[in-house]
Amino acid sequence: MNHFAVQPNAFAAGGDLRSSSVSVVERDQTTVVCPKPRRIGLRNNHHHPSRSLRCYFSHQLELCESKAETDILDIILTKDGYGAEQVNKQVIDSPSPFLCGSPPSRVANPLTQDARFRDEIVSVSSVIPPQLGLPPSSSPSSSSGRKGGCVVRGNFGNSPKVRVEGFDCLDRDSRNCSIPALA
Amino acid sequence: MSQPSVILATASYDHTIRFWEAETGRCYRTIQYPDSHVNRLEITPDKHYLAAACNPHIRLFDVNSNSPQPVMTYDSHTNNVMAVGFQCDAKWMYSGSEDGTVKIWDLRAPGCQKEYESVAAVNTVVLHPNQTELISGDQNGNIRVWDLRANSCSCELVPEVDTAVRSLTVMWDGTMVVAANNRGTCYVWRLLRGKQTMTEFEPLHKLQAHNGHILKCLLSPANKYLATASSDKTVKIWNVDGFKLEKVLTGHQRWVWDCVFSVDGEFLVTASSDMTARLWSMPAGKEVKVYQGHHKATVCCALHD
Repeated sequence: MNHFAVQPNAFAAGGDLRSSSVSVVERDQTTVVCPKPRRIGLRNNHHHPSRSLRCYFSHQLELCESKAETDILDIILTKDGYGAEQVNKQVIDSPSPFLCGSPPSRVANPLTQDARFRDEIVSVSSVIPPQLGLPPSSSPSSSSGRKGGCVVRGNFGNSPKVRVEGFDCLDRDSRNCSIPALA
Repeated sequence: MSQPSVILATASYDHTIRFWEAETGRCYRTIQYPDSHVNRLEITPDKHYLAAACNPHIRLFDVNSNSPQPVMTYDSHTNNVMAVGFQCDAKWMYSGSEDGTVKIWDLRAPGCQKEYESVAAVNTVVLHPNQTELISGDQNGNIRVWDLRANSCSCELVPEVDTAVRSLTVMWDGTMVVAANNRGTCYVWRLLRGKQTMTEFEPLHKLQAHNGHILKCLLSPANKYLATASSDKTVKIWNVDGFKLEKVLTGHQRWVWDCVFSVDGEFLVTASSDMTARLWSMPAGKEVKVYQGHHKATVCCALHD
């Protein structure tokens, strides 16, 4: 019955177990050092149940550390023998609270970085207006430089009093073809 | 050094200005001009100075000196100076530039005195014999008459829109003006004296003088000929009575950039890309002398005899 009772818990916490499973695997790779026979035996004989139990154990410790659940796990692990040893090693090798806290902090870091990236985008955007403003500011200086280099006492435009396009010299006798101008 | 009776000078893309003995063809003076090239040469009416129009300066050299240094430099234009000339008493100088301006310079005071905005690059400027009007031609085909007393443009003639006016010339007595363009066409206006000193431009003749560029057109001081120097390697001489072709001067091997008449109109000096300047007899239509010494195209010449 007790064994049957454990199975529903495992199914109910499937999602959490999966995410925890990933973190546990990472933790095992980095912190837990076990003899190969034991590790292989653990996976082959009690792959799903034992893995589920460890995940459940870690999860429970991380979230609420319920006494009742802990007792049940202790009983089961004691019966298996392997689980007890693994628990001990976990405690010895790496404190659970610190390890349990690292994933959330890692999750938070990207958001922080994203925020920084957004800040960088904003800062880059803020740089753009001055750059866009440079050409207008440079043009007047260039123009003033040119003007400064040319000191002219009198500057006069080219608006002609009379403008004639084309050349009509067919009727040379007629004065209508003449263009009056001071020349 | 005594002042020669005939002053003949040429300028070349080899960055030199050379003075020649007109009769013998000997080069007796060379001025090195390393920092620019000369677009136009002009001798002052009193024969004291030679003006060299460059990019962007105008420099005056003493004709009676061997000094390679100019006696005066005029710095106001911002691009190639393509035209330069003097008022008859040499009190002031005028210039035209590819910076789009025509300027008046008082030779007795520093700096530019007056500036006329033409907008388009100015290729040529001539002074009307009455000494009170300048006529300019630009790259856009505009011919403008500038009234120096009113400081305004009194007239604008555009015989061919957007066809560069390459050269202008006015008869010494002010009765005729000729404009030559890049299509080998000369437009001739008769200048009529109107009421209240107003002159009327009467279209007189359209002359298809050459198939290519006309680089220089020049009316003879004797009221007889019009010379047109062209990219077709020839100089053609036209009779101004009816504009009949009188002679074709052949001998240059490349573009003929400039020409100048002797004071009596009996001789013509030409400058060419074939690195030579040549002296021609107008009555005979023959080459009299070749002036050799430049190492690159000879682009302008000046003669005062």
